[in-house]
Amino acid sequence: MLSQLTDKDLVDQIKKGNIKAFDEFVKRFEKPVSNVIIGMLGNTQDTELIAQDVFIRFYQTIDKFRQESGPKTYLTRMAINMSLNEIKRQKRSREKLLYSDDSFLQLKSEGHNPAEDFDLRDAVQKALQNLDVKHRSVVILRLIEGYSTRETAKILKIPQGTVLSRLFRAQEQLRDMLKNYL
Amino acid sequence: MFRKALHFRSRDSHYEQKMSPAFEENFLEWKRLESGLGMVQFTFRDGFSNRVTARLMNLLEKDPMREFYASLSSLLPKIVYSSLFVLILIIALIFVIHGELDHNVLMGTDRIDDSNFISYLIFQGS
Repeated sequence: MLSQLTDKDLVDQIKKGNIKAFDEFVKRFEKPVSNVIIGMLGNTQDTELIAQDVFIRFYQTIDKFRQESGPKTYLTRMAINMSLNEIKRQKRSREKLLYSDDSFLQLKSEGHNPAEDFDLRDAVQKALQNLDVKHRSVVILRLIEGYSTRETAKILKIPQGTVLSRLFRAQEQLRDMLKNYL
Repeated sequence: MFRKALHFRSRDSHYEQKMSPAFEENFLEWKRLESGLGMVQFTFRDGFSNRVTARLMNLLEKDPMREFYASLSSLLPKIVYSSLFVLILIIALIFVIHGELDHNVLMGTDRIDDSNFISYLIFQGS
């Protein structure tokens, strides 16, 4: 029933206080949020908590969501902003990102055996973490999440030319780092 | 070379057909990178939505007035504007009544009646 609702109707249900609608909403947008946050922050113990914060913050501020953009874009922007806040916080407290145990996260991809998946996931994560934050956010949105250049520019609030130039530099670095896996 | 590839990609496929072999090789390498990264999907372990919902319910149970405060905070600007409007209306009314009283004192009457209504209008006109 709820799974058949459009995004807009689902949001309206959440506004009415329907918790089941919120659960469906989380299921529907879990993947883009996890992609952004794990890509930005790496596989840390705090990553899932931050993703949970994104959805809870969405619920708490749902009245401000006017549906001018879709929920996916809105959540992605929130996920990027909250990841950037977390990176700033970590920098302030001089904490270093550490990879946690592998059971915490799963990689879903088709046509690869688990060993290859693990290698690729690990390699991509390490490569992403080696990029600086500006380039990383562009790569996640443009190459992993599949947003267009225009949408990426809109989410990050930067010109399209900047997206392309950052993508170019990031891609050069990634090409070197991932050449054995692609 | 890759900048050119990006440039071409941002336009239409018409340009892609005009690439030189070396250029095309680099372009394809770029495409492989893109598709390779696009294949990677990170997800949290199963039951993520249950954990988020449980956390939200926990927050709401801890503070049952939270939703009330949230709705109140959204209503607050409306309440403030309405109050301001009513206040301005009351002040305006006071000024009108006060002005009328002054006029009545000036005219030597305590209230406006039929006999001094014309002089009242003349007074207002002047």
